[in-house]
Amino acid sequence: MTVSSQKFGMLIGGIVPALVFGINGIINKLVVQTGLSLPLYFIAIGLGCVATGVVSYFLCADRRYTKTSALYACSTGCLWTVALMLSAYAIDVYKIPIGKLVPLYNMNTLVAVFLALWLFKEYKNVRLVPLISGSALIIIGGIIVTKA
Amino acid sequence: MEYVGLLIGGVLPAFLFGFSNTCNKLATQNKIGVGPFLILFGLATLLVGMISFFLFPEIVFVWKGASLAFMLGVLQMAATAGIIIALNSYKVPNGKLVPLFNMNTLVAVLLALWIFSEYKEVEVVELLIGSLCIVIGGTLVARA
Repeated sequence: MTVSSQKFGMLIGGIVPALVFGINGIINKLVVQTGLSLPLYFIAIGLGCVATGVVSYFLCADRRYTKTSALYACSTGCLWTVALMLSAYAIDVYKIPIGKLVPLYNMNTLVAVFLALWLFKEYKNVRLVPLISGSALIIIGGIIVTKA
Repeated sequence: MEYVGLLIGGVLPAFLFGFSNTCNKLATQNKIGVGPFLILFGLATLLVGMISFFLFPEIVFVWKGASLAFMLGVLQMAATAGIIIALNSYKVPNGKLVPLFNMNTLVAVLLALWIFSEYKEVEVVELLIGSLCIVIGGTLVARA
């Protein structure tokens, strides 16, 4: 795998999703503002997801799955849905500006990295200085956003 | 009151999104193609949506909201397809992708300030500084 192809991977799996997820944060609030009830909101999202999944099933040749991977895919879906539902609920009921929620829920980098250290045994070759300074920055950032 | 909302809509989702971003990696490690992944993700979303009827029994249907929600699902899956392909075919470490796509903070915050005029409700400078700290911190942590 050459360097440039890994860069392409970072583009389609990092930069493009960053733009899309940012826009989705906005759509989240737009949907809540329409007054659509939460269960219907999430059923409509689910239909959108399944439709895209079916299209990609025919487009992509790679149709492998195992019992374990299927279970993880379902877990991703459940966790993501509950998280988004909680944010929608906070917008709806507590009238929290979406601009405050997005930075907070994107502190998830910290959670994902610490889980990776543990699950994938990445702690064996971790560098402590960036880990601790980065974690501190995330938490300080979170506190500042909360007070903003 | 506001702190409860920030906890429910911000801190709790941070943990759940963190777990779900890890499950992406676990799924691809156990071999899964984009199509099956997206379909299963969508079915899980449908299931959670249906279960939530028990919590929120009130039914309000708005076409505009439903079509926006549908679009959110399509966009989310299109971007997730990119993540799965990057993990599967380009072997990009998950630790590099997560901080990258979490830069969506900056996109969302700027759009929210503009589209919803949220600058009237928040301290803009603090919000931007805090968001930047989180994004930079994420990049540092992932490079550790």
